Amino acid sequence: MIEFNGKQIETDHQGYLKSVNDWTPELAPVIAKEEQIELTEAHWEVINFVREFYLEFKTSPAIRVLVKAIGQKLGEDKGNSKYLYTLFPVGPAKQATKIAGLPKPAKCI
Amino acid sequence: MILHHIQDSVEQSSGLTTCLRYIALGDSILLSGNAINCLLKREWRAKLANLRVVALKEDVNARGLQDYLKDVKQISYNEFVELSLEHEKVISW
Amino acid sequence: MKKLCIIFRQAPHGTAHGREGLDLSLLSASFEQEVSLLFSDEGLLTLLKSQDPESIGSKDYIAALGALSLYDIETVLVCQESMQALGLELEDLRIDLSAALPTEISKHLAEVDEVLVF
Repeated sequence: MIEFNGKQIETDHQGYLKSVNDWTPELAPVIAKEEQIELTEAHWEVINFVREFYLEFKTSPAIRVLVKAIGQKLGEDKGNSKYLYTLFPVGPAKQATKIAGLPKPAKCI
Repeated sequence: MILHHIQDSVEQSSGLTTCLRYIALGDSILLSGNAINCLLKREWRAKLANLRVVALKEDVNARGLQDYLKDVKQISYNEFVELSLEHEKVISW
Repeated sequence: MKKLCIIFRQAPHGTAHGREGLDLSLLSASFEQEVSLLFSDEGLLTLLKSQDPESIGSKDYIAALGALSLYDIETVLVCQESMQALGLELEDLRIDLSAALPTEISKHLAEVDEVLVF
């Protein structure tokens, strides 16, 4: 459960939002803070990407797919796990999807 | 060489029909559970006529079909395991 | 790396089979298995355009089909005989693929290491 702007937002026990529709961009820094991440432009690029991926394919991308798809869309210098781990140290798929208000990806690092 | 395993009645599942469409020379079919019941029907006997078909003995006996299926090769659970090992893979339809 | 063929032979929605099959396909592919898909019988209906499963309270798992190439799932077969039986053409389907004859499908099933049917 997250309290935000006087509203209660439901999460699962790992902190993922129960409903993708509860998410707003303003909520992202709140979830990120829980993950000890200060959001920058570079983070937002990935967060927006995973959110769009989810809304198109209705599934959260696993890490390998995230790396590949980001490489195709944002360029090869960003399509590698080293870059993504610099932004999301605990695990890019895990943390980016959480901050983007998405369900946890099935194979999650 | 593939062992095709069918468990559901042909009345409820298209498994056997689909399996027969893709079966290759040298493959075998194992019928267990209610899949065995199709052997009572002339139509299905004809479709299976030129194929290697075995039925699981315990499931035949459990259904009281032993006298009706005397001409069908029946195997025990142990023989089922052996048969699986003789084939490169098992597909459960 | 194993070659894994996943067969969809049951209609989507109504049962969980199709969704489980697709989940397993994506999961296996992200574990770097070489995954191929075969759509036969009513399983072919999974590929129809303009489905709206959410309107009957089902999850729209079909959308993930669009991500197959990102998961490196390149081999997707549809059974030509099933296509004819259902009166469908390739342009009725939401992803680009080619129809395979039953003999081609038999050959593919013989080549892979494991086959799982949903």
